[in-house]
Amino acid sequence: MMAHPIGRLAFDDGVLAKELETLELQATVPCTGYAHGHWGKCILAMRAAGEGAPRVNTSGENAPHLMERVAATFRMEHVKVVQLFAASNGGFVRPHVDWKPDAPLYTRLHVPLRTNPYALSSEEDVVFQMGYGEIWFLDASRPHSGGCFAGETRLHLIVDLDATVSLERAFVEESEYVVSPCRNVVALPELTSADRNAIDGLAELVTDTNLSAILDFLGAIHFQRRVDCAKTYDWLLQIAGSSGNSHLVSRAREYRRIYLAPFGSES
Amino acid sequence: MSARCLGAICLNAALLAPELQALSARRKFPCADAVGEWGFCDLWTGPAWTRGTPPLEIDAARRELPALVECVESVFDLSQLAIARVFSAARYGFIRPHRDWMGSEVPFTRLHVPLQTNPRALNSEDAIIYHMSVGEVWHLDGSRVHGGGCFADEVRLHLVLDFAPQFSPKNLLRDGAAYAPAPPAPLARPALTTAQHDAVRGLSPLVGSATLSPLTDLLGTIHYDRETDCGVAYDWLCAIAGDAGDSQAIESARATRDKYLGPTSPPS
Repeated sequence: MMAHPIGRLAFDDGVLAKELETLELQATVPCTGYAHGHWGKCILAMRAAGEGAPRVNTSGENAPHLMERVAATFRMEHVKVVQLFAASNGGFVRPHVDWKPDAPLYTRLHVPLRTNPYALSSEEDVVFQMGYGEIWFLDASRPHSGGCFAGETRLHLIVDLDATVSLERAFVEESEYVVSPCRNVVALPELTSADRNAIDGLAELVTDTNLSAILDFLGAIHFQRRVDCAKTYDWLLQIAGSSGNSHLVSRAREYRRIYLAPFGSES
Repeated sequence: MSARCLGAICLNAALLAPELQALSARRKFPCADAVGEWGFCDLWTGPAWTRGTPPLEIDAARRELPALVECVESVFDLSQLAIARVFSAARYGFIRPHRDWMGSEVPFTRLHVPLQTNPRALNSEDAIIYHMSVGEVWHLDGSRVHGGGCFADEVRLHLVLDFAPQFSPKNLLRDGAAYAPAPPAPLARPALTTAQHDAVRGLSPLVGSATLSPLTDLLGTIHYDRETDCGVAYDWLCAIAGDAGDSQAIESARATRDKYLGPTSPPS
């Protein structure tokens, strides 16, 4: 597993909580097409080409303490985007990769700002929890996902860095870059034959109407069973193939391409 | 009372085309009961708007959507209008089967007028599936279990007009002669087979806190392709959770059913 903590962001918890209330209510844009349920994001700052630092937008201006902590921790000349990812009520992002290993768009960091025991992240066949204030490096070239399976909203700060900058050099104080192992791996049972039969049984039900709903259902299974999150798309293809409907097979292939090989890395 | 097509109005496609583009591009707000690309945007409020948010002036809508507003004003008696909105669905987005209300306290009289649609834009009510065509004026009974969605890549846009609840659908059209209520033409679907029913019930090993929500969505789509009542999705959900013997899942499934269909008597 490549995801691991690399430091901590310290906050005034009360001030941060107030800022997050405002952002959550006013500025979290829902994402459809690649997320299930309540999953949204909110950009706080973005660096345009040729600019020396990301420009803070109105949402970011509504979170001065959060932005001050980001600027005090990271060298802003290496920061490209600062945003929030929000998830609640079973909302999760479909298992996906963001870029090819040899062509990363960013170096992506997650910092949980508000979390709960039902906020889970995954990388391949490992499901883990990130703690409040921890700075996590995520290898977004590996199949991964994340969501929140409780009513409370999970809010992660996402800091996207220039992909060419080493992690320690992204910190204002390089001594704050402290790599530690992931300690919060969730122990999950293996996939059973009964589980497998239930998945195979979806071939009886699959239609053009429900293929995307089946995809979402399959995409959630790895949060409950120890199985690679990318397996979602193999199952979907098998289910579509069992239907004998070439249109469904074509759609299932396209889903796999979009989420696992968006830049043509899949053979 | 079930869904009725009250009549049809003539929409000028050429005049509306740029306005439909503008409506498609508008930011849509999500609905908690919706799955995928299903959203709404408010256009303007009328005299019967009683909710807490500030009214929306029709003049602003008239500037942005002159052909649509002129058409609506000429066709409908808006003296009891609460709000005009657009419901948008696309790319397999749908709203879970639900009731808008229960009992005798009717909150609104609702009309749907498809502005842009396709054959894969479907609506459901109880055990029937039907399609609303462009320009048709549909009155929906929100006390019945119903759903709707667009199971294609294209964007479906419905103008939705909510009137004061006491306003009879008969009085909504200015031209009384245009009022010719007719029931929907149900789309034929094959019956649910035993194997399909078994596949539904066979999902119980996979029920858990992460899968319950997408499972609810999946079950809520089956009635579009198989002859079954749209509300049965929640009976299946409860049965699957019960088969799993997972008390948390059982509680969540019951809460989901109560949320969408209304409270039921305590489980035996």
